[in-house]
Amino acid sequence: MGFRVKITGGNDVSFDETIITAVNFISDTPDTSNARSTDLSVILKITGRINFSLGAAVTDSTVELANWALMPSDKADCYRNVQVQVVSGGQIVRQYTYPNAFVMDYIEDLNDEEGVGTFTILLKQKKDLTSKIELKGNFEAS
Amino acid sequence: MALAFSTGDPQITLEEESAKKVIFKVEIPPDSRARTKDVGATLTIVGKILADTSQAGNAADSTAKIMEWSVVPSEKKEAYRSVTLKVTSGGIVTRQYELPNAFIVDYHEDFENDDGIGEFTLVLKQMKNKMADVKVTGGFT
Repeated sequence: MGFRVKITGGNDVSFDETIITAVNFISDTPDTSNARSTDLSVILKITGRINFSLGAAVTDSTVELANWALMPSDKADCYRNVQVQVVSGGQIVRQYTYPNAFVMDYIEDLNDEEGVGTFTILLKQKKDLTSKIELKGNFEAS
Repeated sequence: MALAFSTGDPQITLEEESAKKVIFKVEIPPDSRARTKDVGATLTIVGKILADTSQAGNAADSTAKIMEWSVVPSEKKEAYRSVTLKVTSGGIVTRQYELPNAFIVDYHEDFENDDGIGEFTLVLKQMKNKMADVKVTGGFT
């Protein structure tokens, strides 16, 4: 199973299966609600590797994720379009598109036991635009 | 992968053999409806506390200076220092984190009788009104 992530609307970056190791789609309403709540958050958690390119031949686009996470809220491009595809056996199992995602959490973890570091980014669609997200599944990969 | 840590004024330098692990974290409140102003950048560093076996009385590392920094009261200018952490792999600087106005949130040292060396955990935060000065770079030689 491979993951492809495309982020546009700022400095555009994309990641493929060599970088992304896990994707979680989370739709969340308050656990204390008595009935279906309107307070719906749609969250996307993406985990991947901080690969380094020998001789710095390829630019490390994971740095852009760190810069996006540090961006102040008054900038327009702190909201970006994020598309995630889960690909398996020539089939797109899932395709999540969040047109106005912002960073809630961003973590980089590097240590002397593993050869490469890891990053985790937690994204949320801007809440008043939750209905704009696109969730698709089970179509043929082009 | 090797990690090197340094601060400016007063200077503390930890070489590759001391630092073991680094976690860089940027977060906003998880219940926010949109991107907020309330952004915090945290740098967690875990490392070894070494003893100099060749020359007793000489410090093997600068971890004692971090220990001293951790008790500096907030009225003092030295409570805030510029911090640089460099992660190097295969001749490439994978990451360089620069927090020019960092302060210590947490610092602890752990010693156990089954480990030959001690371990420290240092949690740093950039002063919140100076968030724009945090720099993360990577992928250069």
